[in-house]
Amino acid sequence: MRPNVDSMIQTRKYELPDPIKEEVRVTFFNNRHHFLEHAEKHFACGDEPWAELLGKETVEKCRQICSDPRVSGLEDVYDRIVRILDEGIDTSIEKPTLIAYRQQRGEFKGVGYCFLTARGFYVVTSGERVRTALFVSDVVSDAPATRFRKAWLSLKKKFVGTYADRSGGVAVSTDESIWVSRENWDRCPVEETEAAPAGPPTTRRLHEKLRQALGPQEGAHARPRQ
Amino acid sequence: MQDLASDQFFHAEALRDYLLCWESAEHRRRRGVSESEAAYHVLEHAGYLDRHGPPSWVAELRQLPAEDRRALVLAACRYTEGMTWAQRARRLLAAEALSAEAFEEMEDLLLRRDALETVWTVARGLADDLLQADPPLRRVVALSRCVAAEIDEQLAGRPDVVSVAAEVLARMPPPLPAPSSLSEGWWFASIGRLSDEYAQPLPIRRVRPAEAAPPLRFEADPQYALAAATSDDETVYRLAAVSGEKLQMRAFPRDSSKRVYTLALEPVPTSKEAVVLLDGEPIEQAAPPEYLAEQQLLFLFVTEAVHGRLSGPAARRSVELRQRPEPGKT
Repeated sequence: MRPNVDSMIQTRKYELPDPIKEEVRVTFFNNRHHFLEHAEKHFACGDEPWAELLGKETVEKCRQICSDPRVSGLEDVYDRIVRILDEGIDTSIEKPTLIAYRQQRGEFKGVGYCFLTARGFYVVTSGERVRTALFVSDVVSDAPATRFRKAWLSLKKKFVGTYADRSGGVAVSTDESIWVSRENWDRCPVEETEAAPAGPPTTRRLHEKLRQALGPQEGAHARPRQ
Repeated sequence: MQDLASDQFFHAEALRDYLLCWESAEHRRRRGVSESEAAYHVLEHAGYLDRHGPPSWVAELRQLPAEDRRALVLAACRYTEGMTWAQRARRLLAAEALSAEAFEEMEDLLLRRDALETVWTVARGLADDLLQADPPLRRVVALSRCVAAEIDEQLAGRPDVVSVAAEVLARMPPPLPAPSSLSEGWWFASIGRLSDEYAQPLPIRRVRPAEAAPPLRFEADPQYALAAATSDDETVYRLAAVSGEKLQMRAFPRDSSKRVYTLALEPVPTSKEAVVLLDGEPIEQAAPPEYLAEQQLLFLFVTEAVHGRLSGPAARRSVELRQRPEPGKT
C-alpha cells in the first residue's frame, strides 16, 4: 500500500517549559486534504482576522485554492500559514499560555496540547497533529487584547471536567489538564493597562470601586509582566 | 482553574480597560479598540461581575446620566452588527456528525452566545427608562436581539449537538435575572435544560434496536468546475452531500505494477463504512479495505480494470457512507 506520506506537510519541534519539560513534535495538519478543509473554514474565511496575520494576498490565494484545486501555489500558502502558526506556538511557550491535556473527544482519545498565542488565536493538537487553529472573535475587527481575552476565558472553561453523554452524541471528557503556567491561567496575561486617569466625574465612583476590587488582588496575583 | 476569584479578577481588570477605552479616544487608539468594541465589553464584563455576585456593577452603570447610558447602549448594540455567528453556526451544523474541531468551535460559539445574552440583558436594563420615548434606541436594541435570535434559530435545529456542547455553559455563573416577559419563550433562556430534555427519549431509543441511519450519498461537488483533478499518477475526486458535507476520494496505483489501485477516502468516521458506486452499482473490491482511524482515512483497493471504468470521462461516480454494523450483528 502507498504510505500516507504527503511531502507538503511539515513538522516542527518545540521544547515545552516546566512542568512538562519535554520536546514535542507537532505536525501541521494530517494531510493536504485536512489542511484545505481547515483553510476553507478558517484561514480563507472572512469571519476570522487571519488576513491581518497572513496578509490579504495569502488569504485571497488561499480562497482561490479552496474554491478551485487547479489553482497553483498551495505549497506557498501552506508554508506561510505554518510559519504564522509556528510563531504563534513559540509565543505561547515563551510566555507560557498552553495546556497539556488527556482527553476523550468523540473518536479521539489521547494526549494533546492547546497553545494560546499572543496574537489571540489558539492551536489544538490531537496527539502530535494540529487539528485546529482558530480565533474566538465576535467581530473580525476586535483588538488583539480582546481576541486574547476571549480565547483565554473560553479555553479555561473548555479544558476541564467531563460532559455526560446523555444525548448519545459526542462524549467529551478531560481526564487531566496541565495548565502552563499556572499564574498565566490564573490571571489573564494581557498587557497591563496604564495607571488609570481620574476619569470623568460620572464614572469616578465606578473607577474607585474597580480600584478597590483590583487592589488587594493585584498584590495576591503579583508577578512580573513580560 | 475554576477559581471564582480568578474569574472575578479577570472581569474586573477587563472592565477597567474597556471603561478607560470608552472614556478616552487616546486610550482607544493605544489599545486599538473601537468605540463600539469598548462599549460592548464594558457591558459584558460588568454583567459577568454581577453574575458572579454580589450584583452591584450594573447598578453603578445605571447611575450614569441618561445621555451617557444611551450612548453606551447605542454603541454596544452597534458592535453586534458585525457578528457573523449565525452564519458560522449554520456552516458548523450542516454536517451530520461534528468533527472534533467543529465541536471545539461550537463550544466557543456557545460561550460567546452566553456573553451576548449578558450584554443584551445589561443593555436592556440600562435603557429601560429611555426606550419608550426614544424610537432610534428602541430600534437598535431590538436589532441586537435579532442578532441573538438568528444564532438561536440555527442552534435550536440541532439539539443533538447543542445539548452536549452546552455542557460548557454549566461552568459559567448563573444568568442575570431578567423580567419574565423578556425571557419566557426565549430559546437561550432554557438552554441549561436542553440536555435533560433531549435525554428523555433516549432509554427507548437505546432499548429498541435503532433503525439504521440512511446512507449519506456524496456526488461530484458542484463547487468545482471539473469533477476530478489529475496530477501524475493521482486523481482527486471532490464529492459533496446535499447537506454540504464533503468527501475526498484519491485514486492512485498501489505499486509500480499498476495492477491494483488504491482509493483513499476521507474523512470517513469510524462508525461508517464506504461503498463506492459506479453508475449506481457498487464496485468490486480487489482486497479488504484498510482504515487509519486517527486520520479518518479509508483505503479501498480495486483492479486496474475497475479503476479504468471509474476514471472514465462519462462515469457517474458516487460514494455512500453507511452505518457500520455493530459487532455480532448482521
